[in-house]
Amino acid sequence: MNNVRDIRPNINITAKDVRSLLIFLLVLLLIGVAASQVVFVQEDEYLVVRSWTGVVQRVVTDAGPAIKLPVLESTQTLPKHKKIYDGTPSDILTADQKPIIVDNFTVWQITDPLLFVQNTQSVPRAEQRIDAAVYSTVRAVLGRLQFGEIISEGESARGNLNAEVTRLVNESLSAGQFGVTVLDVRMKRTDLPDTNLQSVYSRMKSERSKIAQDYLSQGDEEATKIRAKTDKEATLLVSAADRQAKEIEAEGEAEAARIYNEAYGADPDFYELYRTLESYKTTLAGKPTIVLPIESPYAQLLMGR
Amino acid sequence: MRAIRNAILGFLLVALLADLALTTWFRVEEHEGALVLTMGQANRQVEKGVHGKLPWPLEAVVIRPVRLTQQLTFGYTERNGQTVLVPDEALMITGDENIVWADLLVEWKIADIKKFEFAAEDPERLLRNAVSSALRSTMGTTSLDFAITTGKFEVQTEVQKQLVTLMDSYDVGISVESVKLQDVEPPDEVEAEFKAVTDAREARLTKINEAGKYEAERMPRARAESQQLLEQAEANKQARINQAQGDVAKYKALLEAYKASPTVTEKRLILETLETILPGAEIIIMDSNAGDTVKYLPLRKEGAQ
Repeated sequence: MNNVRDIRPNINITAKDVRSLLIFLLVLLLIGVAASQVVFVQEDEYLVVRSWTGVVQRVVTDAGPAIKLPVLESTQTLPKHKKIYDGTPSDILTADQKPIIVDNFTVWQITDPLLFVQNTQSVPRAEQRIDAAVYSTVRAVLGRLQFGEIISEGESARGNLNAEVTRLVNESLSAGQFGVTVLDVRMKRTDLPDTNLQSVYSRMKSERSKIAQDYLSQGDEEATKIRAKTDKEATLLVSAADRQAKEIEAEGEAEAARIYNEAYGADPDFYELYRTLESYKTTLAGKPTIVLPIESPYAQLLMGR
Repeated sequence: MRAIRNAILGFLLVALLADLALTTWFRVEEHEGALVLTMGQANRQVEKGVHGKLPWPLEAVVIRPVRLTQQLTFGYTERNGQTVLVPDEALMITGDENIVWADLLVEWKIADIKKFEFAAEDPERLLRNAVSSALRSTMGTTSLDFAITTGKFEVQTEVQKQLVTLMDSYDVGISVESVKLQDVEPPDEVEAEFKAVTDAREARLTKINEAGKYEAERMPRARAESQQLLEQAEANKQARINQAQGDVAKYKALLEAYKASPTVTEKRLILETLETILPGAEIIIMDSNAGDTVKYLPLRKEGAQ
């Protein structure tokens, strides 16, 4: 046992030392507890202070430090900012019997935190209420409208469609005193069910085919018109020229006749002689056979009499 | 015991010093802005630079890129430099109940850091919903043909107007700088038919142009032909007149001679004519008194002249 050493520190703990340490720790604890009773309320929060029985004592709505009592009071925060709720898309049959899928989003806010904690309690439950109200309102409002009115949104007689839906949703929620205000319900998307989508595509295709055919036929039509007009004009042009050409030639004939008449008319006897002789030259060219009466002067001449 | 107390005090002191050293200042970059929250409450806004503040937990700071223009893509996303299409966003119904593909780029800025941080739960998601709504609503009042052809700018302006109005009404500290429509086109399902229309439009022009070419060939040819007819006629006319004048000129000269000495000229002309004709002729002289047909048979003048 000689080589076993006592490794415990050589400390003398007195009762006084223990007491002062306990006091020190208590002071620290008190400071800590006191500090934790100060809550910093954020800009986007409401602070709900409840008593230990669960009854709401007060609601702090402004940001900044707030104080609660230790042990006796507990706190809960609620969102003060605007929240977005994406509802489930609703299948609607419009007034003109066309199916449409409408997807809305809702912007809402807790505007009365006291009513909210009393009647709604949590955000998911608020969203359930809002979803139900939006779903039924949208179905009721849009189901009375024509397809085109929904697509063009707000061209209806009741004014803007979204504003109308928002107003009705608030109306239906106000009865429940949920402490929330719906700021806006807005159509985010409007879609066609898949089967209808395909038939719309088919219609679009057929429309385009018709338009394409129109263009082709128009092309044929206009080209034919141009060709026909060209043919007409060319024919008119050439025939007019032909007529004019014949007139010109006729002028030539007339002029020639005038010249002949003027010349030949001066001495008809000589003309007859001349013309007869000229025609002999033409008619008797080649190797004609000429029969002469023996009394004719030429025959006499030939026979040497 | 004193040592434990000193250790705790020492630890607290170090923690306090660290807190003072690290959380009493902050740096704001060139493109950023900062909001200092004093015990949860928005207190002051500061610009770029190094700024002091009370240590944690008394003051906290929110730093956001307020000078940066941020982009939101709708209908497509960019991932690693690749554009990924989002048909669920981009396909929508037009005012004439067709389907159109439209995607766009929104540029926005944080206009008010306090509102951006606290007015809404998720301002960017709100913006995305608002974009969807504004685009859908605008397309719902536009015809497909207008949107995909000349109406792109008009659609873009209207979307921007609606989006700005909507975001202003939500008042969540976002300012919309611009809306740029990227693609507005018919959906893939009907693309081929739309292309066929474009082709047909071209084909129509081709046909018209071909007809125009026919016209361009035909008309000058007709004009040339006409001119040719006229020239030819003019030539014929002159030729006829010349011929007449030529014919007459010889006649006139003979007439002059005839007038001077009719008998000699007449005989001369007859003889000249006979000289022309007779060398090739076979002459039969007939004695009418005897009744014989042939008294003196063929008189040939071979090798005459």
